[in-house]
Amino acid sequence: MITIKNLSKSYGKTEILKNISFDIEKNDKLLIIGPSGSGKTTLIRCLNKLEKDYQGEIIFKKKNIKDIKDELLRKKIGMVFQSYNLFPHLTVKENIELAPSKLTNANKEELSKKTLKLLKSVNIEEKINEYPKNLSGGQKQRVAISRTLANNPEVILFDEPTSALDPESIKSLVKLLNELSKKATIIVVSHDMSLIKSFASKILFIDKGKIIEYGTKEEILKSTNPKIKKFLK
Amino acid sequence: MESFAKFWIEVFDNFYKTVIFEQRYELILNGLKNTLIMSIGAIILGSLLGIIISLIKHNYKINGKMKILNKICNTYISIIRGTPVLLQLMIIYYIIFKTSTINPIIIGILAFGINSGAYSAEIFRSGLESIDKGQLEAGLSLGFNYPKTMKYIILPQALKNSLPSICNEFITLIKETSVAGYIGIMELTKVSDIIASKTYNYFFPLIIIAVIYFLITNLLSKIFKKVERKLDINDNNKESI
Ligand SMILES: Nc1ncnc2c1ncn2[C@@H]1O[C@H](COP(=O)(O)OP(=O)(O)O)[C@@H](O)[C@H]1O
Ligand SMILES: [Mg+2]
Repeated sequence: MITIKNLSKSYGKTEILKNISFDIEKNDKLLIIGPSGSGKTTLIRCLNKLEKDYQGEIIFKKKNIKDIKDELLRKKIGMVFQSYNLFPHLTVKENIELAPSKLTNANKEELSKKTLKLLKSVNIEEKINEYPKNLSGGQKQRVAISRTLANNPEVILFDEPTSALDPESIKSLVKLLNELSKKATIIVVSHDMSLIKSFASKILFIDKGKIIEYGTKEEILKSTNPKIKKFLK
Repeated sequence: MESFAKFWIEVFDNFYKTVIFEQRYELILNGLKNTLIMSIGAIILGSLLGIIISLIKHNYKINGKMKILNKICNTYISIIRGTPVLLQLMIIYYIIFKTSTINPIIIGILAFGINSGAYSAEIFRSGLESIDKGQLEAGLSLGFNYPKTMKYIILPQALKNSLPSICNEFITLIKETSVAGYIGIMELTKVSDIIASKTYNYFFPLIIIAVIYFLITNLLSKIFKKVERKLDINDNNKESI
């Protein structure tokens, strides 16, 4: 579904991603894992075209993403930001409906129905008319996820989704991620090792901008690469 | 007792001469009308200019587009901010519209609007810059293009953040229109001068006009405070989201 070929990305003179190549299949649950500063966020920002200045190619459904209109690609490859970036001047409902109401010709009733369904699926339907500032971190995240889902994306990128959550919320997030993976390809960027066992079907290890290992969960767990063994401990 | 009565008789006498004699209240009302027309016109023109310029500058900063326009805007802002408003008014009146018979009030609106536009542009620019970059990226990542992201996500928040400073700018502008008498516009300050020259007493005309300015600016800032409070009940985007 997505092919990344010889991707390199620099900020100024520092090379952040170094010649990265791998494939992502439809309905993969891909976990991109690596120490902080290794280039994980930069990698998924390239997939979403928030970064465009790179060498190499990113192919989405047989098309170079450079040849796909930004707005179109971003609706198909949605992103849930690490800091959620909810719109503070809009209610939960308005946050979720902003894109579909302005960018599609769906009618109000349909949208309302869909929003309610989305919020029910993430268990915060009672917050529908709240403003973001009145939500906890975990609730904000679920609104951010619903907002992305409202576009019916085929791929969803998550940046460090567990970093601000308590263990209980992590459990329900993982459940939700596994649920979502039935409908979309999920790519999670994290340095949280527990996601290897609880979530991933495939794992990409990245360190200092280079791929150390890429494979299925089973392959990674059996890996003899000393760096990974050290990591998994 | 006698001196007390004398004092009040004198006050009334002065008030009568300043406001009522020869229908001078009509002069004052006319001055108020001209001050208000000029101020409101200039506020509208200045705000429009300010918003447009701040958007051009933002577009240049974020997308690297509109390079030449951005340069023009910067030049405009530094020239306007670097010269006195009275001088700008006289240049427009005596040089640019030298030969035309255009209504001086229109010239006042143009001069004060163009002047205020430079200050408003800086206010809206910093309002736009006060919005976290994540907001822009969130908008883009949902499939909005840059203009729509600005329209639906960035501008509403930035305008709200700009309210206190833009209110100050409006108040400054209203007070600055008091120099328009130089080009013969019968605005409030000019009217006070005219009345004083007839009554040979400056105290009353000046105080009365000062009170009128104060009431206008005070009312304006009360309205803004109310609007700000209303918007604050709903959301608070100073908090990081
Ligand atoms: N906009 C930027 N400008 C300059 N350097 C950046 C920028 N964004 C990220 N970096 C650098 O790129 C490296 C990788 O960052 P990032 O992709 O955020 O890593 P990770 O998400 O794995 O923690 C870091 O060293 C970071 O300082
Ligand atoms: Mg990161």
